[in-house]
Amino acid sequence: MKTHLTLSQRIHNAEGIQAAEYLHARHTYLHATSYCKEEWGEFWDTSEEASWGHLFGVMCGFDEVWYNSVTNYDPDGYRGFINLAKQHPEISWFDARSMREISMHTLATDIIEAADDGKTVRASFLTPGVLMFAFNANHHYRGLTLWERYGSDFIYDEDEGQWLYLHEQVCPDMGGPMDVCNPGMDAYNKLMGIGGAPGGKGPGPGPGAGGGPGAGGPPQGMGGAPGAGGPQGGPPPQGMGGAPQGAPGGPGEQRGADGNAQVPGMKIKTKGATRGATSAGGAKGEVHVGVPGPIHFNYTPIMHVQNTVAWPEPYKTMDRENTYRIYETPEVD
Amino acid sequence: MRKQYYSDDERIIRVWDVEEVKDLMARRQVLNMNNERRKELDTLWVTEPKYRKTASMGSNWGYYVGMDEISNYYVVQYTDRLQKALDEKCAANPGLRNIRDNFGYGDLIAHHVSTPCVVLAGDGKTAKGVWYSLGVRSLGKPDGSCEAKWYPERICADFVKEDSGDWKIWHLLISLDVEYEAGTNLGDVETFTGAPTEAQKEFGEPTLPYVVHNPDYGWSDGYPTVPPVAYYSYDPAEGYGPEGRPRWHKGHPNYRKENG
Repeated sequence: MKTHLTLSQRIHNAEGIQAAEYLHARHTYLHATSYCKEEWGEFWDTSEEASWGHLFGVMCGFDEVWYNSVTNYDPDGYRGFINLAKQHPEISWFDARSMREISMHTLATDIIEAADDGKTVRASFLTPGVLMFAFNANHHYRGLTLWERYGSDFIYDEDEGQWLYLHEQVCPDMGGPMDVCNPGMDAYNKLMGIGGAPGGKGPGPGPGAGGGPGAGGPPQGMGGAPGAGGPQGGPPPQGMGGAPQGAPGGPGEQRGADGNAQVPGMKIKTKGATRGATSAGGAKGEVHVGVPGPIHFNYTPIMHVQNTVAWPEPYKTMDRENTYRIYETPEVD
Repeated sequence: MRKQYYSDDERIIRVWDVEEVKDLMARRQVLNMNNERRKELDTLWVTEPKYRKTASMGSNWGYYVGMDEISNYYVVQYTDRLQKALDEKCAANPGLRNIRDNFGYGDLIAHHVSTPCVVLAGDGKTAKGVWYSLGVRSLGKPDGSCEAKWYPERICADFVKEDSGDWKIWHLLISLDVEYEAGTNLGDVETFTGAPTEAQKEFGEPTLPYVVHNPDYGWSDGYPTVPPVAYYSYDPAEGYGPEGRPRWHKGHPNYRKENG
């Protein structure tokens, strides 16, 4: 009951807990609409402490987050849109940004704690998500499922009297093509380097509406080659949802030179690269991280149980023991 | 310095109000699942005349407006369909009694909601929210088989706090992204077919029939507008009722002459 806090403090913390749920949901819907500027520009802490992580590493500081998630995101969407507009002139004055896929990472199973000092809130979620591509040149849908976990920290801006996003760690576990995947068998096949997982007859790639990153913008794609017309890690074209280029082996073998054997083809640059990149779209698909991965692993049948974003315990103040920010690449057994 | 707009009493009421609204939507989905549609309308929807008149239930193809219209579509017509389906099931299965308790025999309809994004008006009188549902319907057939489909959809709603102090559903809008058979590859499902889906047929003839959302273009038509953001008082033009979605104007890619 936190009876050591005053009623007013508890009310403030209750507001913070609701804000965490609301801000994460708002983030989710903006992401599904591909409104990256709003997703990242309206309610994030813009300091060097801000971070966004995925299995391939952690973007550190708001500049790096923005570069990966906005600067390097919109151009891919526009490229796909222009390709589609050649076939569908009626869309020329549509909102180009939201022509992309609907990356709907639904939020469920939330566990949220507010710090006793009222300055931060921590939240974990499980997300059974879907990524649907409605508008494709071949006039067929494309779709993926994607199960992930989130660890999210929020901070209270006392000057503005509002809660802001501070840290996010995304941990994808499994997924595959809708509605024909068997995530367990797909993972086994991937491990063993056996053929392609179910994906059915593909209608052909077509230009696509830009392909798309997953939760939060940066590369996502579960075990597929980047989609034609899509950016790095975007869901693969139908029929390519199975094993990608080679089997990655067990967790211990996955830390390649680029720290990212799980997202084939992704280019990673570590700290310092962000500020040097200036050309919009010039660094297509290149992801900049301050802390290289792997942070988490996609499911395989020979892995230990992972608890990468453990639920938040009651805490007094945010510190290194109570945060979803990862400051160094973790050791992996 | 924190901008203090509300007293502690007001703040905790606002926190509680948001929880009440989420609870209301969850109850709505469970009653829908259990075929308790009359109970849903009677207990969860607006009761005061000023709101009953403007209440609406919308989907991709238009809106039913007013509680009488909503009730006729959502309860009366639906009950007729349930009766017809039960007649067919009883004819094929003499062991099944043709009684009201067997309505929906062999059906599972689950539009569970997730990802709640609820905003309470600054004046505390209304709220709006959006949820996402990975809905599923499995409908039993007379021969004992069934047909299961996925219904991924946004469920958007305006809520109002009536004079009694109770929160009620005022406008409901179900924005379907795609309807397709479970177990099939979504990549095999065509877009731009122009053929009415089962959901469209089931939606019948709404009070205001026109394209509210065309999923062939994904979410690019910008409606329903999500997520809801902070607002002070209710504005119908920004709501999830029909006034929030003007008809597609001529020239818009989603405009269709037949819906004009």
